Amino acid sequence: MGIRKNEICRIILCAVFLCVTPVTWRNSCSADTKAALNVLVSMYKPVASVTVAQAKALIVALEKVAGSCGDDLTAFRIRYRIALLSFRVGLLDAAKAGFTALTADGKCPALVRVCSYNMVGQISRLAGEDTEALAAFDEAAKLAAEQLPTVEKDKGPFEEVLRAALFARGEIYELNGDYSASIGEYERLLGALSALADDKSLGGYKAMVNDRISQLYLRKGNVDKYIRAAQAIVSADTQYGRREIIELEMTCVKFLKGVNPNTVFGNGSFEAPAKVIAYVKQQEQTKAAADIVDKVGRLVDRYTQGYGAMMVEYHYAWLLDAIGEKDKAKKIFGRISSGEIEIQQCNEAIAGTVRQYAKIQYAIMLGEAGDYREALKALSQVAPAGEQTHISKLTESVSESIKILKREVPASENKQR
Amino acid sequence: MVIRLFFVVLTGMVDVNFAADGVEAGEGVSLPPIETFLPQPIELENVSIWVPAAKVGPLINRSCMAKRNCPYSCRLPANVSHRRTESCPEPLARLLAQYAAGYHQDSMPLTIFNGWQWEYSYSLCEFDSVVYSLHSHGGSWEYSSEAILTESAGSVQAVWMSVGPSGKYECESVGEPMKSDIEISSFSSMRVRDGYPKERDL
Repeated sequence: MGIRKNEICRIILCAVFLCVTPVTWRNSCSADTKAALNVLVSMYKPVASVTVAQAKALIVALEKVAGSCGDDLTAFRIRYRIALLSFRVGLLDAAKAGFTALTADGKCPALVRVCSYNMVGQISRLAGEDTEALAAFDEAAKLAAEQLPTVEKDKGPFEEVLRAALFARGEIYELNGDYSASIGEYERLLGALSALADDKSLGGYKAMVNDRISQLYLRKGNVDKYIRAAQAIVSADTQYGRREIIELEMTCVKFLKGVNPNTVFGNGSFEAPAKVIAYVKQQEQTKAAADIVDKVGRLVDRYTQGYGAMMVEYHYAWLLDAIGEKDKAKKIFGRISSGEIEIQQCNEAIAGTVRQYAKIQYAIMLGEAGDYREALKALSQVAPAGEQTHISKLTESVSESIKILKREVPASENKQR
Repeated sequence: MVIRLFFVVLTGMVDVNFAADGVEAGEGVSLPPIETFLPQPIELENVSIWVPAAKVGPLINRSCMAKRNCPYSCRLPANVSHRRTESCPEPLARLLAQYAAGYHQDSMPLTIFNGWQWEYSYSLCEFDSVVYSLHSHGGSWEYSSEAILTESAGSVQAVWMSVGPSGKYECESVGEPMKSDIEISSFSSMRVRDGYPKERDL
């Protein structure tokens, strides 16, 4: 063996010394640490359910034990909790100072630092201090990204902060009109999302980020890059709710750029279909008008159900109306009015608005065709949100108009005209 | 061999004496979850759609005198509806208004009340005025117009992310959600519908 008995004894003695030392240390400060820990643990409640009065009392209690706590981990958590409760009660300067101090401490555990950077960013953003917010979110994103490869499991919290921080940076730049910087942040986010293993939960986010990137390129005036980013969403196998609308908007942007290369899209592509309809209303007999109606018609054939399909059909109906295809247009307005097109994931406010106006337009066109009874029936199904809305007043005036037509103008006479 | 044995013993001790990061504090007690405030990306959808704007008539003149230069005007309202739950921080709701206002800066000013709320109720954003005449003994006039409605609807929501001692986390609202919603509508490009005004003798 070659190990003498006294060497083994020395090792055992050394081991016992090393084992006992931390225990002794723990015992020597355990009273204070225990008290601190007790306050932290026993008085814990989710911050959302802590009342302002409770939060103030908790801050006082935690501040009392914070200084004497001998355990670093507990101390960092107590300081974090004090800052968080200060945020809860609206003491934003105190909260920010507390979180900032934690970010500056190299001994602070990574998760606490990432969360602290996030909080500094959020507080600064809410206070309108964009420069500070951008810097804090940048640090939060960098630190979270650094941690991801080192964490075997439970990457979730770091992923959440990374995503939120980069979205926030993109939105801040966008709000300030710095579209290039905003695109840079969203592309950085796409890169970060692609590096994450769990792609399942990220599909929707990727489409949303690509949608934002495409819009920003168009607002900047870079149509080629807009089309490339928009095409990526259309080509991807995703359930993204705006997919069909994006394809329609892209078709309309290409068309408008074709007829007038100087067309600008300062608000992005959402205005493009309405602008195309305005063009067709003025140029209804041209080949260009016929071409765009044909292209949108092919989209209608391809997409038959869902919110996006309803929106594409609504615009198509107005295009048909503009070129004089009144019967076809009326049929589509009727389809949308009746709820024949199923919509699930959608922006309910907008879907509701579109359906209501489709019903009114359907009624107007039925009235123009002399079908007064059906027109009044369609109008009776309009459900305006309030008495003073445009929809309610319009419904009333159209209804009144159709009643006069029914009384005064024979259906056959109106049809002839 | 001696050194190796020493390190084996030392490693074992380290495992025994130090808790993993974020799992246990010095007394072996689990620390409570760590929470952080996470607003979700602002969700805003914008649409510009053609809609029927106004319809009137037929207005009929039964008298034996013709009526000339009758005025008709039509006004389309712009509207902003902006709400927040009590738990939603005011600056977060204001952020949503600022973000949405970027798409309406040509037609509506961002007028903030109460520190967060964009209020702009029933102001006019499109106005049309025409003059018409009616023949005597049944002259009639019917009018219909269309316009582009630009509507934005969206929301912003924040959650508390809570990371438990084992690293498990959840991002859920406790109780009432911290949420703000906004709907903005304005009209533009009002025009007379093809085929109107219709003048008849009834």
